Amino acid sequence: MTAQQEPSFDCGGDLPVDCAQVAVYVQSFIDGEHVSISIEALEVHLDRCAPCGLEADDFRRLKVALARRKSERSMVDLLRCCCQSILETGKL
Amino acid sequence: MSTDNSGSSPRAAVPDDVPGAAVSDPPATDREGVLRPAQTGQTDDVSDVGEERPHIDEAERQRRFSDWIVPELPFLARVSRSMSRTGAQAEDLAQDTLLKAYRSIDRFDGRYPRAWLFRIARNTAINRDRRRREQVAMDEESMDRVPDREPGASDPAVQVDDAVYDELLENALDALPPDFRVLIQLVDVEGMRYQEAADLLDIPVGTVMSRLHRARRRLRAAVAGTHLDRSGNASVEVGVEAT
Repeated sequence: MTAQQEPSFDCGGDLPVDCAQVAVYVQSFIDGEHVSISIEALEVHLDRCAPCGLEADDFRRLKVALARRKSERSMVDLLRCCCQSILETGKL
Repeated sequence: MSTDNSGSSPRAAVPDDVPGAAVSDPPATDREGVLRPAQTGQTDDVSDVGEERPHIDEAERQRRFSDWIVPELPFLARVSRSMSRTGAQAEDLAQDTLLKAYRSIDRFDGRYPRAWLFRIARNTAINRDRRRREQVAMDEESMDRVPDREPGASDPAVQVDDAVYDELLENALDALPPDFRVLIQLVDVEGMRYQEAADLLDIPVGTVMSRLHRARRRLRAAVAGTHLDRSGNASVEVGVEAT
């Protein structure tokens, strides 16, 4: 595990893992990769700590948007064919 | 694929989803070329306002389409996805938009093609959804089971939000260092595991994690304003941006 930068805050709650640990592992957790802290504790923290939970939501949305790019690429190929048809015949 | 069997000539069929020539007024993009919600032409100018249309021959029509529209296909794909519930709907929407753009390009002066395409796509999507609701409404047995908006279909504000998000993301990806961008491509776009990416690039898994996580923090920072503003949490920033 490569050291990550610590978060600029701590929620101060009575949670099994702290914000610094969550910042280190949250992306691997979202990726479904191995994390060396308790998954359950991580989930509890994300559920109860709003800033960390929002950060996790951001990374999830980012991941979904990036995954969408793969299908968009094939869609662009399809649209290129459509353009060719339009240019040649004036219709699809 | 959508079909059009009208058999009409391109000039003869100007759809009512296509904004008039006035769409080329004030830029619908910011200086980075990113569409902004307040500037994406959220008007109902879906009618052909009947302004005089300069005659262009077929060769000129094709040239304009090739020069102005074809380069924007990735953009059109993104916005069509954001306005559709399924991939098939998105493809139909994008194709319909292209055809309408081709038929109406004599009304377009070539400025801000993204804004123009966006508005055609948006109006086409609105009409598509309206037609679908009307069709379902005619089926009395279905009426009680049909919500105002189909499950999974987002409201127009969310559609714009998604389109803006994707545009910001596109620009942020372009700005990433190549070492970071390739990992985003392998892990997030292609779906590789960390170990697979590490093996492919011949770098340690720890390096994959470090670069990937830093890259995502940059991307997150770049797109942060699009939806966090809406929930009032734009100032929440966990961690320090890695460089």
